[in-house]
Amino acid sequence: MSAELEAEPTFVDKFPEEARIIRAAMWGSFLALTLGAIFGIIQTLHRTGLARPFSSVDYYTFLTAHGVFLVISFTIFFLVGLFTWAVVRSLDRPLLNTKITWTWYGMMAVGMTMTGISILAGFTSRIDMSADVLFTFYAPLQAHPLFYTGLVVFIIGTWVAGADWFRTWLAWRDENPGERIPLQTFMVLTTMIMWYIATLAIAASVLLFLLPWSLGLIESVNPTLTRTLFWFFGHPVVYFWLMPAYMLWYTVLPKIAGGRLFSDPLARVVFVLFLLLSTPVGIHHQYLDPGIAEGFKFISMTNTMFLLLPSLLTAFTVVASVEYGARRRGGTGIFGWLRALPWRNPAFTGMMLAGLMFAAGGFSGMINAGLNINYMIHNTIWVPGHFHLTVGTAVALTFMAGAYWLWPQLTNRPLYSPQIGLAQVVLWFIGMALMSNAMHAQGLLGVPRRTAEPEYAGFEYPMAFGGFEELNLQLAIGGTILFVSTVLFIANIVITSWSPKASGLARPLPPALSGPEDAPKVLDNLRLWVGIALVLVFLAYALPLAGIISNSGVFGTGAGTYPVWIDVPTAVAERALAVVTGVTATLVNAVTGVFTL
Amino acid sequence: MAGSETASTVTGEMNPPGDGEPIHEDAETEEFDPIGTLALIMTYFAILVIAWVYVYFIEFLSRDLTVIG
Ligand code: HEM
Ligand SMILES: [Cu+2]
Repeated sequence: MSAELEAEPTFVDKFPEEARIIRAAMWGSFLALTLGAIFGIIQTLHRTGLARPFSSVDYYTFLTAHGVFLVISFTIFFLVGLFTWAVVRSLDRPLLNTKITWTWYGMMAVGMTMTGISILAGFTSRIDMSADVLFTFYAPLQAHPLFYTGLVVFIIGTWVAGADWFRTWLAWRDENPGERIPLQTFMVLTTMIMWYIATLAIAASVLLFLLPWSLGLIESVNPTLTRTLFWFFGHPVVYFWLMPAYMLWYTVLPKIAGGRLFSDPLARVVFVLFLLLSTPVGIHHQYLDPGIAEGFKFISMTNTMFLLLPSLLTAFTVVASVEYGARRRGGTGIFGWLRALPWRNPAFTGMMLAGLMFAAGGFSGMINAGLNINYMIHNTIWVPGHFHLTVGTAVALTFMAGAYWLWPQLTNRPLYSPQIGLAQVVLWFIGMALMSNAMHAQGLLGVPRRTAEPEYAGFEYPMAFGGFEELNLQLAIGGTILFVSTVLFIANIVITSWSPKASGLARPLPPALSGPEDAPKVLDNLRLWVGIALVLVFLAYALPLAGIISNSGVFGTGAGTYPVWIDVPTAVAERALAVVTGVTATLVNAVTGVFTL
Repeated sequence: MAGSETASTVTGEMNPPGDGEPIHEDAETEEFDPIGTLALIMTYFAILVIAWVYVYFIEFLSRDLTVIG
């Protein structure tokens, strides 16, 4: 048919093998989302006391499964699919060797299956295995060795994935000498550099301490050390979840709005800032940890506040790009242009609502980041309230909206029902507004997180913004709406995959209003950014780690409590300072060396 | 040489923007000044300031001091 011949080729037409791998990764992601949502609704009904069909002892198995499946499996499988698409699309060339690509996919799938089995085995006493360590998995909680082994295999899989994208880019660079790195590939490469730095700490923590400890090879570990190594990884990982969402906001959302990206250079600056600043802030998760001096916590807080900058730049660039689209569609006025946007398109509305939720998450994030006011909400259910806005909505809802846009181009099948898609993203927004609001409010009343039965005999939570019971009801209604929304999403994608094929589904992306030619060349000097990132990480972590180790030893003191680290700092600081100056000089030399390359 | 978002994005120009919905092409040539964006961001900051004032009164002035440890 002539119409078919004229139609622009879709991604799957041009790169069928790559599209197959991307679909496989996304199926992995959607499976994890389904399981996560089932555990989520169980947890919601249990902790609010509305329905407790399972024993409270199993609550921690559910909670671990919910956390691990959603923030490790759902997010990262979607990420590797999206990044593969972004690299191949923006370089407009196939991957070098898809055998390697299938290999890393296989490693990630096998690793996650091992970890998943070790968690789910906790539901039955017939298998002597469990891993109720929650997604933060630091000591003194201990999991079956299979949990850690699976994680290692999974993470090495992501490392190979990064190498696969780097190699493809290098091949492209040889074919296109002197050209700027295409924006989407630039985003993938900077994000992966951040991931390599971040995962070093978790690899060290698992391989040196947690795995040998769980195998019985070593007697004890230093809990503060494994916590610190976890959070060394734990903060950059939140940007690992977020960067694919940012990529969709920067490169796809403006196109759907009828416009184009406002500024390519600004987008590059933002990704470089995340690479530099996302690791030296992890201690902000440990404001209440004894064993780390207040001064280091203060430094971490300062770095965290700097980290607000790239997100504010993003708010500006993305909204301006969307406004540009609205003006092209004839939108007018200071706020009136908002009406000219394609609100019926589930991909557009989903991403916009996700962005709005992220802005709200910014408010509670600023509270979390403050060293002093953090004490008010630490370990309360306020914290899950916060991250269900960020990873649970800004990221998750953007991924779902992005899937509505991308899936047809990966399958040549039009989305089964854009109307259901629209209802789904709006339901997610409403459900999350209720659940997250109730969580924040309960947190202010002091209701703890990670608690199966947060009601206590002979104790009443104070009254404010409604009482404990009323907020429980709100939380449960919100959680139920979210569950329904997830079911609608999965059903829409599954039915789409059975629908007849169609043509004309290609959606190419326009170049930016201010293109890469306006970006300073230094932005593409990845070696320089790696060097600076490593120096910053060193400055932020050398002293705290030295302190933690000198206080309780590499493998801990065996048992007992860990004293507050108050008067040791001076002694340690003096010894460590000599080392620091030496190593810094070497590093600075290395960086200046890189500069002149 | 315009940048390196090569073939795939250059062809994007031929596709109707907004995934096939109608647009006003003439507006493209005009100078684009993102005042609507500025207005939204100012709204965000206004909410932020009000929230901080609110926290100050509700959390600190209306309650007893919280002592940890
Ligand atoms: C179906 C929608 C969802 C529901 C009903 C739900 C419900 C909940 C509830 C009630 C908790 C708090 C449990 C507690 O602290 O006692 C929780 C924790 C959590 N949720 Fe969700 N959630 C949903 C979706 C998501 C999504 C999409 C993500 C991330 C992508 C996510 C990530 C997490 C994490 C990381 C925790 C913390 C686990 C821990 O404390 O170890 N959730 N969820
Ligand atoms: Cu953090």
